[in-house]
Amino acid sequence: MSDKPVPRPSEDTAEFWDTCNDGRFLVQRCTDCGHERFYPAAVCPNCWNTEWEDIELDGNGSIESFTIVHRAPTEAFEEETPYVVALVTMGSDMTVMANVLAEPEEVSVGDAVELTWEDRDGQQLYQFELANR
Amino acid sequence: MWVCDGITHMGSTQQVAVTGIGESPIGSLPDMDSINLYAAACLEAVDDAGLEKDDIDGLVTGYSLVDPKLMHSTVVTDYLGLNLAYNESLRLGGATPFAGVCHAANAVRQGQCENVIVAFGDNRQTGFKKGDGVSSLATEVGHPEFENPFGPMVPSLYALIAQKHMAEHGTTAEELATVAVTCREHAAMRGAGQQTEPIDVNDVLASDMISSPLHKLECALISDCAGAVVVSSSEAAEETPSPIELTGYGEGHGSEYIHRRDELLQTPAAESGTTAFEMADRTPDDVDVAQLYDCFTITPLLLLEDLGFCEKGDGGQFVRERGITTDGDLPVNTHGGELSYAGAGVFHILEAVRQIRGDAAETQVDADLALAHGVGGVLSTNATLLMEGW
Repeated sequence: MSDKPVPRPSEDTAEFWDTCNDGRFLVQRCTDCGHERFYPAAVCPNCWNTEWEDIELDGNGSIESFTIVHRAPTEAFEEETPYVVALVTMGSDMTVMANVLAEPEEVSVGDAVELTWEDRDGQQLYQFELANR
Repeated sequence: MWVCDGITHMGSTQQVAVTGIGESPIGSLPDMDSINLYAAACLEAVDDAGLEKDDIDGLVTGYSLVDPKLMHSTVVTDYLGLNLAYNESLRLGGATPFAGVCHAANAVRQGQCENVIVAFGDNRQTGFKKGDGVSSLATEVGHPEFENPFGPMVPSLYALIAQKHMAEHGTTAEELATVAVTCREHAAMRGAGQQTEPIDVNDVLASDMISSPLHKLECALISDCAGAVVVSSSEAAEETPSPIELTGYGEGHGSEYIHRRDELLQTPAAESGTTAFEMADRTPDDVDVAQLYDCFTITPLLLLEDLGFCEKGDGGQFVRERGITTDGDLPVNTHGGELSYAGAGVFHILEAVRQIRGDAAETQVDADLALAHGVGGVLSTNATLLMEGW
């Protein structure tokens, strides 16, 4: 059992976290303006339409930026240091923060990554690993 | 300002002044709580303005992470026995006192009040040791579901911006470190503030890595401290000993969460700066000294770009080639900033006032126009202030 934070789903995000448990990463596309958004929300931040469709991303992305964390924010992360926190661009320019599960010195901006999953107290948490390794 | 047929619309355009500045003691002050620090700064600012308690009819305060209050400014009002026509508790992270000055100026221009104290501080150095304060700060800044489960430290969020700036624009670790070195140089020249021992680039790069590429000496101090300014109407300012004019101010607000940025390296400082420069009828070239929020070394680089002092991506080059020391093209953080003077942005505003008054001692520059800029969140919310002689 990890002491690391487990996402606590809200009304807006429950479905997203449920589908993570099926190994699927969904984002929302506005049925009016077509704007794609992440994190899940009941309102399109582009046009305020309240209807959307879910689309599934294929799990391929690239590292927009990253940092190697040496000083953990909380005790729960201390044993993991140094670890990589990255901003990953997926789909149509959607940015997602997650860890890249790799040796820190292997990671560079622009690297291709693919989705993987971490079991955190029964919740599947999206993570990334370097592609083609 | 919008004038049409001699009739002024959208509020008054009367001159607004900063008439007083004050600060609490700075450092580790276990005998002072957050409200004590606010009170010390407020009393000194009002005294500096040559005003009395009963002259104060407006108050804007920030907040305390150590000792939160539901209505912070009302608690300070109660503590100081003020009788207010304008009262605002503002919570915009590090941008709070800067936006607070904007709001105070608007309230004065609308005739709601004459003399407004804008104060910000906290006892974080002492308070964070008692609980799990740095962690609670860490979990307040990132998104609770979509960022914090991955363990970013607050510096990590800025480090992500710094890393991309390096990858995209060739910014170097040495250029980033130079920001910290310069702040320390200024604090050392003044001999005031929390860290006055000179450092060089090697010291910065040899300090502990916190979240790459940011080292410990590239992160703001955590301090017990408070600062305050008095914003006054034109009429009230005439009775005070050393007013300066707030000739321009503006705000710019973007997304709270870093993963939601359309452009990671673009900040709303562009909007706040443009608004302020237009109000003052000035351009970045006119600025003689800039007090730029420096929670981390990457922050002033981005602000130099987005406030229009150089092209996007050239912040590092600006620091290296044009210089931000007192003998550089644009002296920055002449008090030492959050990296060396004290861990609160409010002192940037006080320092801009000192530069215009000619009270900046060893780091005084020839200043007709001073800029102060504050940032809240992860470059999320921004406010720019421009000050000139009365």
